[in-house]
Amino acid sequence: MEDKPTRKQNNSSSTRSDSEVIHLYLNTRDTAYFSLLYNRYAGKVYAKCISMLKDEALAQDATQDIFIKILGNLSKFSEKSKFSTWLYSITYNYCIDFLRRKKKERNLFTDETENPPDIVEDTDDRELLAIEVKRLKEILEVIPPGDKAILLMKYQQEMSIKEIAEGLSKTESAIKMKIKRAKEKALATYKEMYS
Amino acid sequence: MSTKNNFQLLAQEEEEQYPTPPPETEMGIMGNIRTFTFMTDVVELYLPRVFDIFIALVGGKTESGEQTTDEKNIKK
Repeated sequence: MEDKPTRKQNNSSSTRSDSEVIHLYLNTRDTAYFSLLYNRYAGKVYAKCISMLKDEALAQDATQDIFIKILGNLSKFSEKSKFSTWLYSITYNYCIDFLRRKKKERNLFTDETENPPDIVEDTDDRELLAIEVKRLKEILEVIPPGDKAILLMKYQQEMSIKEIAEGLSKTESAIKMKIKRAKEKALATYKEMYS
Repeated sequence: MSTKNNFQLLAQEEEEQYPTPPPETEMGIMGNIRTFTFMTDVVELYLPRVFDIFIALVGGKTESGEQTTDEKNIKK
């Protein structure tokens, strides 16, 4: 018999991996297991939503919608990547879609890269990663949300190009091009603001 | 020594600033789960009955071969 997670376990560290918890939830449909996943990740998802949407009330609604979406798609989670990677790509995707709908800003993630070149030269990350945290925060507030999201996926979550491409339903070349453009935009903004 | 890059330090800062969403968010999600579970249970329980009735109405026999309530009523 499976031992159910108690409230105490929910609030403290549970030794079960995300994958085990997902299997247990799918097999038993016991909400305590889903609650365990929620307690592990709600704070991170909420912080990302606030960072993207810049509004606490919207971020609360977004967090709720994202977890309901996760619940509905949990059986489709293929475990090709970590659960957290999958969850964060859904989170960023949700926020980008929300902002796109809100502003009807077609170029939020429109592709100047619909037909990207096969080879995209990679630019050096050192300059971007050397920016002070406070300044980085200010730069990310200024650049378009689509660029911000892709930089966060790449450098904050350390998602691979393949994972980002799968999460955003784009080709790998398009993502490489998008990252390159976002990096250039962030560095140009940095120079504009601080030099 | 911290091995986090500036993006990860920024995430850490934001997570410390907004540690958890308010309890209403979890309550909303759990409410949705309960509704979803209830709907699934209703479908699981009643859908086979609906099919049986439909089959009986078009003059067929149900899978178990038993007469449906409607058939019994007709015979009476």
